[in-house]
Amino acid sequence: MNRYATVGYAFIAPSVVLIALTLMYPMLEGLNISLFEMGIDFQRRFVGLDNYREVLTNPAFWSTVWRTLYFSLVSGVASLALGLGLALLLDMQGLWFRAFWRVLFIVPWTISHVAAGLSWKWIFDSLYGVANDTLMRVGLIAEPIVWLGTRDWAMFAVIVANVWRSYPFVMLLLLAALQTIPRDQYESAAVDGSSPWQRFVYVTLPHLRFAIFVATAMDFIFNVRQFDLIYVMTRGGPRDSTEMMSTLVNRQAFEFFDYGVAAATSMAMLVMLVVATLAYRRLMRSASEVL
Amino acid sequence: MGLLMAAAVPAQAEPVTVQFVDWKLNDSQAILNFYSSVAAEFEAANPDIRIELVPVQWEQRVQKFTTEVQAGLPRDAIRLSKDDLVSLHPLLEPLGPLLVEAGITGLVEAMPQSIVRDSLTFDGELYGLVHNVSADGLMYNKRMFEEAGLDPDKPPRTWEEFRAYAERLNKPPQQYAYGMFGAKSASSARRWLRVFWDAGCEFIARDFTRATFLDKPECIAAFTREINFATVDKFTPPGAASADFEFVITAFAQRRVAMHAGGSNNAAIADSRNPGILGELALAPMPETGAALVNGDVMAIPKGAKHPVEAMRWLAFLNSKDMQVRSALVLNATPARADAIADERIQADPMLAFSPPPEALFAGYSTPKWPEVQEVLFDMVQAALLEEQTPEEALRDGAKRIDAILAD
Repeated sequence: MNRYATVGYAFIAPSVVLIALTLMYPMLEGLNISLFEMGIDFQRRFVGLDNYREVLTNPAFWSTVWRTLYFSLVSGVASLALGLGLALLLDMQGLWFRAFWRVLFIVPWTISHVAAGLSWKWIFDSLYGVANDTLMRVGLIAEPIVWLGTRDWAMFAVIVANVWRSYPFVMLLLLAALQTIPRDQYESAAVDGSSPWQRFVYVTLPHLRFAIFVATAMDFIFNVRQFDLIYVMTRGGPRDSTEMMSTLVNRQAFEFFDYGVAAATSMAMLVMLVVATLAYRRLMRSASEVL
Repeated sequence: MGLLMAAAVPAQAEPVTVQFVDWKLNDSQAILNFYSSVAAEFEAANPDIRIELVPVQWEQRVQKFTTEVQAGLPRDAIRLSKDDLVSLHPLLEPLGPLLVEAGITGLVEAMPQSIVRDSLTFDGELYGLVHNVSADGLMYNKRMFEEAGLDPDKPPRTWEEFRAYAERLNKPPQQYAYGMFGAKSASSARRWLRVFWDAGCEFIARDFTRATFLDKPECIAAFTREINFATVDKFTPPGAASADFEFVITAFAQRRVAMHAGGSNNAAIADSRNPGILGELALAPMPETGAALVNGDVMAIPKGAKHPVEAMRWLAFLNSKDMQVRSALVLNATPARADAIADERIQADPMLAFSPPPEALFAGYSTPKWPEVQEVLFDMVQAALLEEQTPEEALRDGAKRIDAILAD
């Protein structure tokens, strides 16, 4: 190893140690616990893969997996659409009060999930909520909607709250990428007679490809892990209509005190996230080759 | 020479610090001030002990407690809900030996013995001291009764009367007769258990082997009646399946709901949401039997606590008669000790002095599998409220699942 490499390793060593302690150790400990039966008294009894068998053969687990994917994908697509739209708006030449809009659009990201969840819970309250009041005033509905007390509306409500909380992250990443696109490319395209839509598809989108991948992949991971917002708004109900993997793990660990099964569910969640991210990366590569 | 002199003078021992974790400290500044002054009183009487009050969020109390104990960093004393003890007692110190070591006598005998026996004692060991109790009654708004032409001093005593009253009180969408708790929470669970007990049914067998709510037709009828209040009679605000404590108490405080099953502290909470409403509220036993779960706050000592004997002295101080009375007045909760309930300061407040008939009080089910059984109870309730199953279908489906949980 040459001197430069040694110095390089020395520089990154503190970060590696920190990451190993804060990320790798809990992950390995989770993997370890998943192989044991472990209850409230923390006594461990080795059960091999029994916890995984219990988790993977439970139909409720699979319906929770599909529900989590649905929530994450719909939230992700909506966040991307909203984030991209607002990023394009903020990147527009001659936009008035740009700093004001930028701060305003970032505000949801600065609010804690719990506070956001409580606020949205009241917004969607069937007796007092602003959502019903507004919709009734403008004549879109005649009777209040029971947002959090019916299956479909409850899922809709948590997705809306989650998109509101997560779009600024997507917007910021895309805005940063937009600002790196050379303006002369747009000017050349305009001289060649391209329409705004063509400039968006053939100039903007290719430049945003990597940023979109990073933003959507990270947003997807955040969505799969989303817990506080859903727990505060619905606790996974009514029935299992908004039960996600994160709320399921919480229930297994801190309500049923079945730590082994909770750890096995968490590991399954981790594997799903890795597989989904790799698949998405491959998809993006294929798409970029087409473009 | 100086060193020799220092060795000859006995060193004054540093006071021991007892950390007391309590979610109530987060409830209001008045409660925090009260317990701060109580801690100061205790420290004055016990100069060898310092009390550190550690607030915790109600929602995080169990997670923080289990994590601290598992990490080998338990605090010295903690307030828990009585129902928490069913699952958490393996992480608590048995109090019997500590009471002896601390020289405390007569304290356990002053507590309600049914709670001590059924909810605080596991495998012959005592794990908690009950600080205050609450049992739900029919909480109603007298003004709304009067406006509906009902006598506010004569609450319904049978379910037929309740229905007749509800029909008079129900004026949707502005006003609903009854607030029903359908969301997943411990406060919902105890209200739904009450429905079965009122009909003379146990929810699960007392030996925790099987579901028993299908044993008598009266149980199915009682559950169906309660569900129908929401789905057929429409006595409740829409969305009962998601109605949690916040929703119901806010609607009650805002006079959108006329009645609900609630404990004595609900009146004060309603008054905090809508100051001045307290004078309109009254509490009576629920119709028919007045059946209710006795709930309450319990003081305990985590396993592995550094100063368990000192913590025991602090908990004994908190649960003396005078302290239970004083804290009851601040917390708006009925004290647990019989001599504290009999105190004139408590008897002067009808809400604090309220208690359903003793024979109608139930302690709940002390099985470690209760959290899983309770989850099925929520699912049965919500399936019926969402009308995805009839009440009877929900019960039959739930019974199978509960039997499987208890057999496991």
